[in-house]
Amino acid sequence: MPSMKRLNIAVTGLNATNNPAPGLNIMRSIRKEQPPGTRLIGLTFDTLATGAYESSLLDEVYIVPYPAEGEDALLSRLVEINKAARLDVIIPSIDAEVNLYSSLKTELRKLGIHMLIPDRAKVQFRSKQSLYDFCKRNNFDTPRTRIVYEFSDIEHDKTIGYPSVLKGSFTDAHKVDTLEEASIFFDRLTKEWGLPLVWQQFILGEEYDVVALADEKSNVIGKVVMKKFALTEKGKAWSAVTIGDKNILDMADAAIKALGWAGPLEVELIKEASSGTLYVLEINPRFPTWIYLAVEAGQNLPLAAVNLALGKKVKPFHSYELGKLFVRSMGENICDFNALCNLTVRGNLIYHNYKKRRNNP
Amino acid sequence: MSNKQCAFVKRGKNTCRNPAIEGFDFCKSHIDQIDSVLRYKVPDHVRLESSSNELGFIFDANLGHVYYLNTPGTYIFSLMKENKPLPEIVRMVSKRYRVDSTKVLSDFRDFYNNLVDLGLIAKHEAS
Repeated sequence: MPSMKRLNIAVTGLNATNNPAPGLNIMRSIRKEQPPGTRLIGLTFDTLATGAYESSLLDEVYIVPYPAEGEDALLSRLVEINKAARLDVIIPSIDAEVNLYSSLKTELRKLGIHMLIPDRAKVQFRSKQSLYDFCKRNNFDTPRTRIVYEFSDIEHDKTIGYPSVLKGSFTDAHKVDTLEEASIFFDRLTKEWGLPLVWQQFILGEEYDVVALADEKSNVIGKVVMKKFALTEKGKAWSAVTIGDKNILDMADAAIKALGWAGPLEVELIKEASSGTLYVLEINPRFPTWIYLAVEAGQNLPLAAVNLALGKKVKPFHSYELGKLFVRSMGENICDFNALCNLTVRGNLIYHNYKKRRNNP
Repeated sequence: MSNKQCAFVKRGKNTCRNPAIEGFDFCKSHIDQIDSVLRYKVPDHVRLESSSNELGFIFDANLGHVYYLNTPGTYIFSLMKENKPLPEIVRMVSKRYRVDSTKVLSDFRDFYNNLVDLGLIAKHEAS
């Protein structure tokens, strides 16, 4: 049997609860057209990250430190994991981690680990705290925004008003209609995500998302727009359809150019019902959770990101299928209890699927 | 019917004295003239999805908007998607629903205008 070079791809963001992280769908995308010898490795800081038990998709899972523990702790753990798993590519997919991985780009490259990720400064430009200024500088409409460091910032503010939206520094958002509601959600978001929070004018309208991928020179490799059809109470898309709105596609190009971006990017937008104005709500430095919709519409952006990270030439995508719908559903994985024990005690979980797939491709 | 007379002209002469259909310059006998007044094109990104109960909806795949249609609307738009000439559409609708073609035509004008306003057909009126 001819020998096959393994391609070991690690992906973060394995949680798949009612606010699912993108990791599983990134891996599902890669699996769809994977090169021979691909081994998918999940990295998670939570032993109860539900996606870690998706044994049909993952080959191995490793525990990494929580983002709050910082770059040194993460690097030290990745060195250990690399000795065991020999990583070729990492795709970080949680906002709080992208900063860290971006800072570690050079060190990880020395270990033979490739990433398609922008510099840390560029990641910061689009952060929730900097987004308003970034949009103003680059002529994107965005809701009036204030960064909140203490509750009195909300109490004494006269610029945002009600209804408004209070957002955690990395994720989570709540619509607030009164000062009393603002007080409740200020406490809840601060406890969960820390300070500062982002306080934003509420815009009534329909929500859209665009995912785009840029190479190291900020050339756009692909982009897909979707319109949200159904939202959860957290405002997450539970159903959406691909559309071809040229204004939104152009906006993705403009955002990538303005940021000098490399890697995956998601722009969340809302079209105001009364004026038709498109407002940028967020720019996320990663693939969105709905990325598999883009793949089924004809653009396998995660696989393109892997190839770009490895320095391969990738042909840009020029079109995709309109009217592709995704409807998310929940599922349950049944596994042995020792899966949880292994992940908790040993910090890893080896499914040995790779060997099986290699023998029965 | 309006008080206006049919403006159909043959060999430079207006020979028809029939009353014109409401909203148009021609009479029932010269309904083929509609092709010189109203023209249309259904863009590729505008799709018709019809169901087994003859209802349907139009999906604007550029903007993501969805519009529900009743049974006659679904039938008419399905004919428009096939680029059928308007006189033929009027005849087919008139026959299917057993409605006088003048009534079909005046109702169609409202439907046509709505489709134009919503960007679901490209208006192409003759000058």
